[in-house]
Amino acid sequence: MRSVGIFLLPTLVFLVAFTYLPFGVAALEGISALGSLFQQENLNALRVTALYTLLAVPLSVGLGLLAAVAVEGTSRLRLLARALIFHPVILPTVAFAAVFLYLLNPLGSLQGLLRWLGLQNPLGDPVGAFLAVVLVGVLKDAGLYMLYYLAGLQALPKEVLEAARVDGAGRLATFFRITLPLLSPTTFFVGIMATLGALRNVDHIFILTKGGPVGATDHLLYRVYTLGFEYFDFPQAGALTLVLLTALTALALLALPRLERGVHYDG
Amino acid sequence: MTGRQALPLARTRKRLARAASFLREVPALLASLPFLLIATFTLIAAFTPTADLNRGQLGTLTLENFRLAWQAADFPRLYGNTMLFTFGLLLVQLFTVTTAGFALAHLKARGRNGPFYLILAQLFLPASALILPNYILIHKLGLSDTLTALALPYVASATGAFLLRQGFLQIPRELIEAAQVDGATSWQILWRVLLPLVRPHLAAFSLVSLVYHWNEFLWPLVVIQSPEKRVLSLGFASFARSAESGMEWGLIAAGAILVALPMVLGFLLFQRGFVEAFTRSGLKG
Amino acid sequence: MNMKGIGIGLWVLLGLGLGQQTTITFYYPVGVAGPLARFIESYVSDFEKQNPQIRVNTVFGGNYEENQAKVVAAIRAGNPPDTAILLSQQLHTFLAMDAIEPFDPYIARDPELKKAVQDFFPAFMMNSTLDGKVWSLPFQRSTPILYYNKDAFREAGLDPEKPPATWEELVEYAKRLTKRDAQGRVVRYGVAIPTEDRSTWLLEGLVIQAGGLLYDPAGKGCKVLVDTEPVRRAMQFKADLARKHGVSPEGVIAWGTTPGDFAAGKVAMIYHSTGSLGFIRTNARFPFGTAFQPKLVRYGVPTGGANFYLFKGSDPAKREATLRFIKFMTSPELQARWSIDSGYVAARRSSWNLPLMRDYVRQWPQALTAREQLAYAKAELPVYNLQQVKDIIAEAEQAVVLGRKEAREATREAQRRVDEALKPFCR
Repeated sequence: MRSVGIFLLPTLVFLVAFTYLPFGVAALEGISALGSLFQQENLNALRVTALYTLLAVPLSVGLGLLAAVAVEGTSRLRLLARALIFHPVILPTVAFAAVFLYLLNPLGSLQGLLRWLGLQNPLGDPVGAFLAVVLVGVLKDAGLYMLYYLAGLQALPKEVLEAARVDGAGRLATFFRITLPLLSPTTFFVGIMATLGALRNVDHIFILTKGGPVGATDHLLYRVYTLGFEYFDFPQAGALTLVLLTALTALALLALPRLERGVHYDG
Repeated sequence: MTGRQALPLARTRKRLARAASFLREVPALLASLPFLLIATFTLIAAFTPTADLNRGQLGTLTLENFRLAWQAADFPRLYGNTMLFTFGLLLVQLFTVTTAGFALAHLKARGRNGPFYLILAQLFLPASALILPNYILIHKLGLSDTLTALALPYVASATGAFLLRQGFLQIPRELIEAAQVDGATSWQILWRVLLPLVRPHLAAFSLVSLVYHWNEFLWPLVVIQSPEKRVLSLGFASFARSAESGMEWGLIAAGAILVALPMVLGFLLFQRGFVEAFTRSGLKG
Repeated sequence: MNMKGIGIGLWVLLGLGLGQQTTITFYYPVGVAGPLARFIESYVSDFEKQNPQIRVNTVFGGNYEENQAKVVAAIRAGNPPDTAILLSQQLHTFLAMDAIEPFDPYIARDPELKKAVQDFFPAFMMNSTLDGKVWSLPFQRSTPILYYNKDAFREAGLDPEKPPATWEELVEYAKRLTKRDAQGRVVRYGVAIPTEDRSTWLLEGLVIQAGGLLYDPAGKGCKVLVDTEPVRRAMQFKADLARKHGVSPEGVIAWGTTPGDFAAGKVAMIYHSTGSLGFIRTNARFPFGTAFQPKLVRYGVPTGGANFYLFKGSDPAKREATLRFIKFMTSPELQARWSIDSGYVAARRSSWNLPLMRDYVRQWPQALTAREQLAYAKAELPVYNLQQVKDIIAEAEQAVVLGRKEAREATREAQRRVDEALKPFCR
């Protein structure tokens, strides 16, 4: 067909205006403040973001996989379990996180449970607050990753699994030697999604910890907000935005070749 | 079938089978338990007087929290704004993702690669990472504090474009060729012949877009200042803060339920649709 | 017929003219415990009933910090509110933005306003006046006070009418008030002094009590004194409560939930705003007392809370409506009502002579503490780039409370960062 190119126009115009042009705007704004990146608070934000990603990604992906294996099938109970695990995905993060304000309140009704876990005042302690933020992030997203894994599990070649069983391989062995390797494209994809999520979802930090205490949950994006929209220091916020965009670009370069293959040949 | 007359052995066997089938459900139970607890807690808290909650006392049920929450924030307006934003945006997106998906599916290889990568890369440049430069742009355009500004960064959607591209690629080429022989233009082919066939893809995209933007928080927080333009997540966050200082946990839970209700209802009604939509929009190979 | 038509037209026009509404925009925060937003909304609707030609567009902006950020964002977007309740110590921020107007011209021509200015407690005007001009009018004003649980005092063998008067006594009382169960777990803490997320208010009180002040009053908003002995003693005192004496919950104690913990009997003494009195009154199921915060070398607290500001860019009709609204909200009657509803100190001296207020004080003498403490009050930290400065100091305080840093190291580092943050504003 000819003249199909014109159909791309609406998307491309907005894409350039609000995705690629902003890249440049951030650079223009931030270039003068690049030196400030080495300030202690900004280095701290980098560290927090890296730690958060390193912890939240494997946990949410792992939970998603476990959940998928646990609820695969069609019994009524499994469908119910599936709905339960998935439901935080459709909730506003701020609403989901607000419930944890009560659950984690040091002197609230769950005091006993928290103490038993050795967490007396989770949100008032740097480590506890960080873990709380990770926990909420993981529980919020795991359901989505479960869906991807369920789809992945369904697409597995049944013959191979059957063959393994016939060969007398145990359930665990089958899972680790056969299922998991076969799922690796899904795992790669889910891992990328989770990393992306860890870099861009900070809504729960606004509700739970506001970046504190002592900066323990001061995620890069949260700091961009504080700098830009509370201190109105646009150059520094711009410089941090550039860091975030660099990380995202690196992720894209890592993922795009494989993603593209998927997009091209699936169908 | 097996009544009183059933053999004892058969009965035992049946019981064993039932126990075994229950045991097989245990992992599913365990995996969903934390989620069940959180949901149950939210529900209980929403219907329990705050004073009781603070003393860890349960049993009394009340609708008071919902009444207070409804008064504390202007919910009709919040719902209205959120719907205006999400559905208005969706309407525009349906146009952009259909056209883009169509083009991506049928562009000649030569002209395709540039736009292809440009759009694909957007998956990795989410609007939330661009709040600062986008705010500067919106401000320059004189659009700060408008619902329009909320929508602008999402008008072009890579997720949608590729979802629709998949849809278009599944349509047999002969259909298009037949229409071309009849002298139809590209636009007519898209509108009359192909559009009805990608309806499931459009539906899936719509669901995901609605859920995502209904829950959106950071970008509205940056853009919107006037209370009469607030969306639900903003209204809830500010109201949760005032309720938190009074430790009105029941109120927070009730507010959270009010905010999430439309999505939860939708999910309960169209569970399969949601699951399918979210799975599809994953865009994997 | 024609005449009749014109007549009707005139009436319609006149009706429109009379019924024409002025809409003003008003931002307010909630900084203490309790359903305060609901009270404010009800005052606004009373005002609108009395002034049907004025509509007040109220914006609940969140806590003090969030509300501040919203107002600044609105100003920057070229859409300033007509008035807002903002921390009295934010004066320098708005001066630097050239966003506010002084009240003086209006005071000069409006006797009601003039009377009001003379009627406010002088301590509450300390943060409002600069170089002889009045930049804001007090609305929700407070000082931090000590709340204590009289039942717990009795149980611990302490005299419930004799609250601790010195830091030393506070620690001693707190030790006796801390209650443990059979397994040695604490079921009631002796004392909780919140470490505020993004504010230095309670710390300022401790610094004053230790004989210092967090800023140089002659420094014109440019001189913050963090690296001083009183600041170190104040931070160390807080850290010791949990880490050395074990009478306070470990970690950073949240400002927001502390009154609730007190009301639930989980901690016997707290430092908090007098503005939380209303919440504690309705929620505590035990007799409680209020007292001056104990001294180290002297009594003292910062005043706190927020004032009405006037923003530039309002047209005369809106300005008139705004002033009428502010006069209503700061009237002796409304200040009395607000004080009773919330616990804030009625900022007008004459409020305290109203029958309503007298009855209230007779029933709840706890409300008098904050008023009397005003005699020892100092203005709270007035400085440029306020939020960033406060964040830096609060973070240093948190680090000491958590045992992450020595007080000496924390204050030295904070001083350097504060000076850095002030540089662009102070040459």
